[in-house]
Amino acid sequence: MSVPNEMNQKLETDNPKPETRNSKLSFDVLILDDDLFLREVYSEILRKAGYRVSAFGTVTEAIEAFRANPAGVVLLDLFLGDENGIKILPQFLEICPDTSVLIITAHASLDTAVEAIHSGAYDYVVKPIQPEDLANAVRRGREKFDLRAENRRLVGELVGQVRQLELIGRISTTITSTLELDPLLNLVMEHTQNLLQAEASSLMILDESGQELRIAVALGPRAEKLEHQTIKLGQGVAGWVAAERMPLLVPDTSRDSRFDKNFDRNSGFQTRSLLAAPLLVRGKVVGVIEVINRKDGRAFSESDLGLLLSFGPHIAVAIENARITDDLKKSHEKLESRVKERTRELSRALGDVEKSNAQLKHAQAQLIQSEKLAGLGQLAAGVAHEINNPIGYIQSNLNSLHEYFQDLLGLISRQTEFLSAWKKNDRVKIAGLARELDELGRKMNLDGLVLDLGRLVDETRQGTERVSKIVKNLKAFARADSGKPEPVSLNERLEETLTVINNELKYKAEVIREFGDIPSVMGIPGELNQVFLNLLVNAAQAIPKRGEIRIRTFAQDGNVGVEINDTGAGIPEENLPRIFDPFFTTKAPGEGTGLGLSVAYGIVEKHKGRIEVDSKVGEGTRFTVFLPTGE
Amino acid sequence: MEKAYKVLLVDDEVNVLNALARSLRKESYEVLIAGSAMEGLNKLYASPIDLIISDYKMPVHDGVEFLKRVAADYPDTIRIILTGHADMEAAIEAINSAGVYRFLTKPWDDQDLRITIRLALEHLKIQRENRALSAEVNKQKQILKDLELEHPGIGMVEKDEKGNILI
Repeated sequence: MSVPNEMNQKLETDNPKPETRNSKLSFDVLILDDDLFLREVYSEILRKAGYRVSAFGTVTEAIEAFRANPAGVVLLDLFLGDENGIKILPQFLEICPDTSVLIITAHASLDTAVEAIHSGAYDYVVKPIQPEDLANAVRRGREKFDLRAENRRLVGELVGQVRQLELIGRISTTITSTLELDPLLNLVMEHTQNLLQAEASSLMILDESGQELRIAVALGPRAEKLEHQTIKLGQGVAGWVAAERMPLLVPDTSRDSRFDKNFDRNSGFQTRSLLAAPLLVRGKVVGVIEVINRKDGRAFSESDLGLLLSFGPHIAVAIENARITDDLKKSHEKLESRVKERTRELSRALGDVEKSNAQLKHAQAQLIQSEKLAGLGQLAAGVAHEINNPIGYIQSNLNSLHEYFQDLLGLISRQTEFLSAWKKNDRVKIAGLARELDELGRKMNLDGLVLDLGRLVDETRQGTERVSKIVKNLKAFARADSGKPEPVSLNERLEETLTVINNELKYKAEVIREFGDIPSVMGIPGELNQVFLNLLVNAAQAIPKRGEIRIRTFAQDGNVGVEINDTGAGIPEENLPRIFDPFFTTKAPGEGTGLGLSVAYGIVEKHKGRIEVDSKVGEGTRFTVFLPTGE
Repeated sequence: MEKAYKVLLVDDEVNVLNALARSLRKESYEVLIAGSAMEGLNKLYASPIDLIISDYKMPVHDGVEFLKRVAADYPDTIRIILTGHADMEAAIEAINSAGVYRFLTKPWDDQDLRITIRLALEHLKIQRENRALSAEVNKQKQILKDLELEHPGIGMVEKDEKGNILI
């Protein structure tokens, strides 16, 4: 068989050591195949590639083992005895939804493989298995599993953190409204002082140890000297009141030994008469309130003390509130620092998510690149066919031309002989040669040959023109990837693309060009070629037997429109919203990756354009690409 | 002069057909051409064809489809694919489903093509001879059987150890 054997060449793929990020798993790969030999072959390949492998021959065993120890990748043979692999697939995914299920299928059952993909399989490998392919597929599956598991964990973490932040927010709102108590205490003291016509007053709060009073509010002359001073329990009037939990009326300080004269010495203030009362909350001393010197110079009286005592409980509650506030303030601060810490962790986690997103994007970019390469391969095969035809008849025609030439040469040499005989008037020879020439001419069909010579040359010339046109356009098509935007004439691009994929189209459709007079657009030529290539190949593939592809270009509202109409099968309405989704395909396996339209969409979006689609089942589809004109 | 065999070339590209016909013009068989599978079938129905060389990729019906049809209706006609689209899968499919004799690729070698056709026709010739001979042998066997019924023992031939027939 004269078929090139490149297809048999193994694909060279580099196989880096698998990275086992998720060390919680006891196994990387679970193999389920009822064929012991194949099971061992697969295990061997994957162990060599550095994976921890467990292998089972029955579904029950495998599911049980998987439930106990889920693996990142499940390798599933589609023909397991009488069990249908596709029915088993969801059982694995139910146990561990992140697991990548890789299907092994015989070539004859690719349809089943596609069904498996729809049932949630990650990929499929076709028998006979190439070790590199298997290891690669498992590596991709493993990466996908790790990414999915990581993402799931990060999302869980994020949700938890958001809840915590919400709670903290609510608490701090409450704290801020309570924090207004400080000025309130001041107000209460001013009020008390005014009411009792006192010169000065102070509010002392018992600290947490219960051993010391701290002056929280001091009003009156020299009050600033008293601020933040502390008084020991039992020391002075306030200390006595706190210790004894009793109010005290000191009409004349000079006559009461409980009064600590050092206070006045320190502040330079002269205390003549004072009232002091403990502040009790639920029977516990929280502080002491003191009112000093009546403004009218008289000593405080019992009724003054009674008045003070009526304020006591309110002030006590206010102090208690202040304490709570203080506690809240402290815990708020603590929380705040925790929030900050959490925020830092959060942004770290977000960074991780971004990183894994970037990894996913990278993987997607690689897939898109492989789609491009697959497209190029398809293109190359098509172009080969396109070129092989003319080359075939050019070569053959040149051979025939050579034969014609040989025949004619023979005829000419006979004719020369004939002429020389004619000149010599050798009648016998003339008669013989004339018969011979006649015979020769008939034998080689001279009239037909002469007629065909012109056609042969014409057709050969057509062939060479066609080859050079294909090569020229292919060069233009391939060269285009400079990556930089430049003014692009879409009509020219379409013409180039059409030449390159003529082979794909001509067997399916009549191509009708309705190119309008359009301005150029700014764009990356190679990428735009890719868009038209994908749309045109799709159009051709949508046509079941034979139809029509109509390409119209037009200018409209600062855009250039490229409309590609086909008379193909059309897209069912329920599929319309999904056609630009990556991997969405209705094609048979091996015919499409489902990336064609998604790639086209991405490119058009990048060019700030848009794609519109209009389709009717049984009638055909119209894709319209709009690209903005110039800058 | 009536030629012994008829060869049909099918390709959607007329330049290919013309070039093939040119390179086969001196061969000892009649060359017919068709621009599509439908046209090829019509030619086939009009008069029996001994050998068909068909392109693989053609609009509407491709070469494999066409040759499958031929195999069903005229199983004796030798079927060859000549294609510029050489991939393994296509070749396997053609050989398995349409019983293709050979799978040739474009650009083709004129000499190789002529030899292939000659060998194929020889194959065909031997096949036909074989069939005719078998038919003849069967006919003789039947006659012998009939004779044996009429005259039992007439078919028995005695031979000596050297193989000589004893009368």
